[in-house]
Amino acid sequence: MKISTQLNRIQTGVRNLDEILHGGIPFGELTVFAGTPGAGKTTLAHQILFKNATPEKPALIFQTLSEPTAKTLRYLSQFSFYDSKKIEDGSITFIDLGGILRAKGLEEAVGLLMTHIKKVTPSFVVIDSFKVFEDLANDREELRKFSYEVAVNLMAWECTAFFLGEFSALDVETNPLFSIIDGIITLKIRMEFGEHQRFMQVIKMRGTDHSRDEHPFAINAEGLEIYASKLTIKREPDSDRMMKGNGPYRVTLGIPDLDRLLGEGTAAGSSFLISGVAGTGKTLLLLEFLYKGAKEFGEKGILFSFEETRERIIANAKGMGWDIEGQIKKGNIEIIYVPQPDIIVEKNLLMMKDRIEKMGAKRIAVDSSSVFVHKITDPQKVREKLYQLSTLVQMSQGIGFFATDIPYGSEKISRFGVEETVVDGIILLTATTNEKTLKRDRYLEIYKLRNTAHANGKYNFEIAMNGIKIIQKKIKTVSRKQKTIGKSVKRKK
Amino acid sequence: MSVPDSDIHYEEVEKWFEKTGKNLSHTEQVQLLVKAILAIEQRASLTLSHITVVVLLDRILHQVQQKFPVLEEVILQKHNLDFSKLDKQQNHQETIFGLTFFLAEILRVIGRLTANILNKSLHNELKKVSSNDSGES
Repeated sequence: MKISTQLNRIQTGVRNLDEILHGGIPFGELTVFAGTPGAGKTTLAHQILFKNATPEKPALIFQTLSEPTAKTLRYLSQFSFYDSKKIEDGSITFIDLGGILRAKGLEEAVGLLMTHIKKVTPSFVVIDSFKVFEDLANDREELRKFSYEVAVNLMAWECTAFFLGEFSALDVETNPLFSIIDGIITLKIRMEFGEHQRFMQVIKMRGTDHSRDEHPFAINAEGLEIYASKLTIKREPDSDRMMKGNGPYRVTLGIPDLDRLLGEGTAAGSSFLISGVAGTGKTLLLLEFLYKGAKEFGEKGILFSFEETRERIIANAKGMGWDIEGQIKKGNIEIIYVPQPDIIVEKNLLMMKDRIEKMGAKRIAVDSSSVFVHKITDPQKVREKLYQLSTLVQMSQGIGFFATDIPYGSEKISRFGVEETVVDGIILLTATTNEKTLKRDRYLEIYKLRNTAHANGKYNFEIAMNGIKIIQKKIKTVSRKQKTIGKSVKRKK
Repeated sequence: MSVPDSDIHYEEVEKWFEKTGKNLSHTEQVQLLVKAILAIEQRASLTLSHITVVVLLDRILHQVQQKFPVLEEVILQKHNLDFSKLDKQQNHQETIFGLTFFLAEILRVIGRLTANILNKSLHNELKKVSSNDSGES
């Protein structure tokens, strides 16, 4: 006879928090939510309770001296997770202890808490805020004794409990409470890239492994949304689409002149950097990539634009003879415009993941990746975020085109000098002024393409109606039968 | 095969009581059960600390008394359980059921809170309790 000793988990209902906790909060734990006022502690606790509390597994929320319960309820009702039925049917009960605590002090506090706990026998208990007991205690010993008694009682009644408070890093080291609790989650607000951003971190959680990173988060109408891109955007083993027998599943882009340069085709899941100084045709190439995919093959494509508005993109495409609007109406193309000041890399990565998955996009264009990460100053971080961007393409098993601006007169092939290491291919667009004609001569070069025999060198091209056209006649290509992203491929023998 | 925690403890208590309390009078059976509860309390205190066990007993007794009002006379004092006011003469059958349930609940709750680590020790402790000299301690 085997008795399972695995701890049951509570699904928090907070996006990505369960991933951070490797499956949720172990049942019966006592966790502190520490953070400055306004950091999101109360919202986090309420969100978890509204997800989990039922009439059979009720929750008690003790409001101490932090803020009047009426105020809490008023703000709470703005969130989509708020469900008045949970209060009506007794799933969640708010108890304001402020006045009684003020009158009776710490001595009677345990008895007061236990009276309610015995009456309701809750599965969940929140004390908001626990910090107030520190003010009521005469000394550290009294606080230690009180904390221990509360913890033991909650343990005895098998309650999963959350203690909220404006605890600092110093408190974690010195406050007696922290020697008896099972988990610590900190919530902070600080300046990052010139903006106030929220961060959460699981410092400790007994009974489970967990991410130790700081994760940015936002509070929106749904409550807390944590951006744990490292955990949610990842390449799974054996997730690349392969041919029967050997080699990657290869696809063609539907841009004939470019396909000839790309040789035997591009492996599904590959991402390309489309590099060039301003005015070399990067955006047009991205649009042609999306439009031809949709028109020729019915492949769904999505453009994340951090530079031009949706309207301007549609108008530009129209000028090239591409009815992008028609393809949008058919559901083949989506354009998502995020103005530069609104870019929050972690948040946008999660949004991109959602939109790609929801649409089932096989062509993913980003205009431009250099603007997308422009607020990040650490090259290592830039690399990490661009790797996640290319991972989104890998996860979709489609193809990604990421435009990047090279500074004028630079010998670089990318804006930050790190992008080329994370992508599978680089298409370099350059232009020179022809001294005889005084016109600009444009060149396209397949600078890099992993595991593919591609055309070598610069090819003179022009931007004509309906897309790019290679002027140079002789292109050495590899003869392979190529197919589109969604179709199977039969190799020529 | 895994079985619910509660079944394990109830089976253990039933098995023990069937073997040990079989030929006893109702009064002696009540005394035997009280002796077992105190023995388990003592053994659990050794590992979990007395203050923790007292708090646990407070919780368990509170719930058991709701189900078996006949046990309302059992009082949890600051340091121990007091069975002295338990009327041993009336409604014996109900008292025996209540105490059996109390005993099994103590094992279940402690087992649950300690990820079943103490199960074997507590079950062994229970097996040691016999009717010989079965007066309350």
